[in-house]
Amino acid sequence: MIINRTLKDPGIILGVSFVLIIAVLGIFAPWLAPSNPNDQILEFRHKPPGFVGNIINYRLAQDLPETSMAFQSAFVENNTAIIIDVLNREHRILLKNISGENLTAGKETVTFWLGTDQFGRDILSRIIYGARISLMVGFTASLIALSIGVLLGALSGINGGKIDTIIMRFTDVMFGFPTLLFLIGITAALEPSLNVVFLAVGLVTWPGMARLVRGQVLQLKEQEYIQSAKALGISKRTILIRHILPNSLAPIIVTFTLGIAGAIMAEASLSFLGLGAQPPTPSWGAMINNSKDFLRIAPWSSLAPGMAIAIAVLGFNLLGDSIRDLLDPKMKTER
Amino acid sequence: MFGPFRILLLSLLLFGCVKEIDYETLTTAYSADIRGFDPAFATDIRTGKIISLVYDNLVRFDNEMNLVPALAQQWTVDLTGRKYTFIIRNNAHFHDGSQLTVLDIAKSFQRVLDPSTASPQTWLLDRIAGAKDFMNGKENFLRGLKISNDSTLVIELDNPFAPFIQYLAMPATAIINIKDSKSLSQAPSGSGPWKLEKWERDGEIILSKNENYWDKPPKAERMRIRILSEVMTQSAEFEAGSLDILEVPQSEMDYWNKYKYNKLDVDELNIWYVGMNCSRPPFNDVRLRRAMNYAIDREKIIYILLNNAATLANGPIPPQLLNEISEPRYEYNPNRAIRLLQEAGFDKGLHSELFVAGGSGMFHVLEALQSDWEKVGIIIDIKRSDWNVFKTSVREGKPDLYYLDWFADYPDGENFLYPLFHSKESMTKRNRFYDPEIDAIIEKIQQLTNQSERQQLLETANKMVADAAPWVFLWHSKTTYLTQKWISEFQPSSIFNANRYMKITKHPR
Repeated sequence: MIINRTLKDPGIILGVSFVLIIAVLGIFAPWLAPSNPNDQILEFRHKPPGFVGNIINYRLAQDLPETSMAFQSAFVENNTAIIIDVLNREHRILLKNISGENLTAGKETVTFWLGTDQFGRDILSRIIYGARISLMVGFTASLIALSIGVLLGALSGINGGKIDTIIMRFTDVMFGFPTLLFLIGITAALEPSLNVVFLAVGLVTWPGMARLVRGQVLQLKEQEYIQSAKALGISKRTILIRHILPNSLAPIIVTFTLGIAGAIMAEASLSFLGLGAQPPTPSWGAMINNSKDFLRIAPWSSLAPGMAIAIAVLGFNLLGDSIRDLLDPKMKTER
Repeated sequence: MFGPFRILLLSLLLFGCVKEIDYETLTTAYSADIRGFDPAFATDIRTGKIISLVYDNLVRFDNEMNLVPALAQQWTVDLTGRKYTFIIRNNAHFHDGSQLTVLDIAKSFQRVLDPSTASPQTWLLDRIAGAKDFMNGKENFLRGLKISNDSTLVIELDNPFAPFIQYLAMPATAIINIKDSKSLSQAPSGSGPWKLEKWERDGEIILSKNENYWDKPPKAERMRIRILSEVMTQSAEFEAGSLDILEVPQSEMDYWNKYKYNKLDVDELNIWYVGMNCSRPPFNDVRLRRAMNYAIDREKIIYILLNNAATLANGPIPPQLLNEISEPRYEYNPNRAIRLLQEAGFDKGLHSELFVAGGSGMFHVLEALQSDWEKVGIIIDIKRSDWNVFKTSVREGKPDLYYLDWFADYPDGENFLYPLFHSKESMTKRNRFYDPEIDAIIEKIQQLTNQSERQQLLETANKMVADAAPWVFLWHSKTTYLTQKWISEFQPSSIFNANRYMKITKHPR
């Protein structure tokens, strides 16, 4: 029956497929990305989507990282490749350092499906790797918020009295701060980096979860089966873990999923402001920040990450909504 | 911060109405507000520019970077190089109508040094004889300033110091109406070609021409300087015709190249660089510092990322300030960089952090440098912080690497040596570079008055500093200005306070 209803709801199909796309991109990034997201080919600066270019893959010495460059012409002399670049300068690279170990094998024709940014980096590859960062932030931050929120919410709900008052007033205080402003404050005070963003977003977004869990606990506490468990002399802790929490799982999952969307958005905002991912990390927010000055010259370089953020956030929101619809028994009759 | 959105709103507004062009008012833009109109506190370029419009100095720079008379009709230096005699013109008046006298000049200088003023610019005048005693309260007046008669001022220095006369063309040595010295910051009281009409903070500055200027007054009636912090907003406003002059943002060079506006390229006296902390590992090794220089392809970066709006730096001093064309240094040679790294024992690579101020110009370029360094095995993390935090950590010598620029105060190679590489400055404020030989040569340059000998020493010093590689020398940037078709005689200059908008006109075409 659930499957039946699922198929009728376009929201859930869209949500699931968006989330799946992002998840697959993020998890399989190294296999899916056509090129290294940080490889700069300056000659290909601001090329529009669909641009096709020829490059040579090489490294400067055996144990150094592989890199690529564009060329005007290239030929072999003895054991050395001579590459003429856009400024008519000669670059001599030992053949053994050319990927594939001969010039023909080292050459590659690359299509930049979403165009390139101001450093000639492949936007598609950066979007794909960016999905990783967004997923990681989404899950880590939401997990932190989940842990804190559930712990404090449950403590508050089950104990009541002074503990409840203290925890809930603290939660109110946390709620009182505008989220983004609070995040900017934390990340600006610490050294900006992705790890700080993970932590900060988690530490700022838990109050919603805490209130929700407390509400659930208060409501379930009065149920007959809990009352009987109490009468049997089962400890508060066991009641909470064995009976109350499993029964409030549905709203928790929904809030968790929606929290992921919020966290992705928060990371993008912080990175856009330069407080999140540091260069050259391909975070979507940072990509928009980097290309916003070129909006009139290369609009694709900010549009693509913008779309990616939209899809990810929309996907997780739709998914969360749909899960709520599916799990909430009261919704069934209304439909 | 939310640039693109603002632009959208703005363009909606602009396309909605067609504006009449006001031919009386010249409109330009600054990217941030000025600090105020008090010359004693003019430490940044924007404030310095506005001070040069509202006030006069004894001498000033013309557009070709020559020192020319201003309030001083003429001046002489005696053979010791310590005594300067200035003949002051008697037809200069402050904006309130009172005459500018020799006494005003002496008091203006004294005020900068006075501890109760707390000016950060005392270094410009503290070489005058008796300045130390005056500053620590031992004497009530400046011994080295002598008023011989109504139109003659004599300044005596402790020691011969060649750049001193150029210091007198700097914003902080502008002459003020001393009776208004308390309220200068809001209400300037000077004798310059422009008078302040209105200053709306973070909004606009409106100046009107001084009809009674001792020289020919400006041709334009009024000047409006708008504070527009987003470069894209400036571009859009220029496109709509509401700005007469645009300093083309580096990121929009490609865009504007397509259009036919009057274009002016100005080689500014500046240098962009990456400072390396020379007094502790790993960058105390000159081989590593040279490797950092060889590893980056500056030529390609300038050609592609900067649209050729810069010239390669072959040392700290910009080519306009040297007689000979300096030989190319540190051409792109990654293999040489790798060899140097091996010699210095970094064959396993190196990991370091580069500090940069958040909004600093040309910030984008850093990622290209980062990528070039990675190719030879030097991994650099970019650490961004706000300007004040950045400035403090550089001063305290925290960063191993930092990205910064230097703009000339006055057109003299010495200004690219002493404040940057003399151990007195570098060891306390900058990248902790100390070379006794370079110190000695810089001190000699400061004392020499013989121009050809001095020029030769400047060249030697430039080469020595390039050899020692305390920096990664990047480039000297150009600024491109566009003007609307109704603007003529706009003359930007290489030195920030030389252009006083005297001849510029706005006429229907």
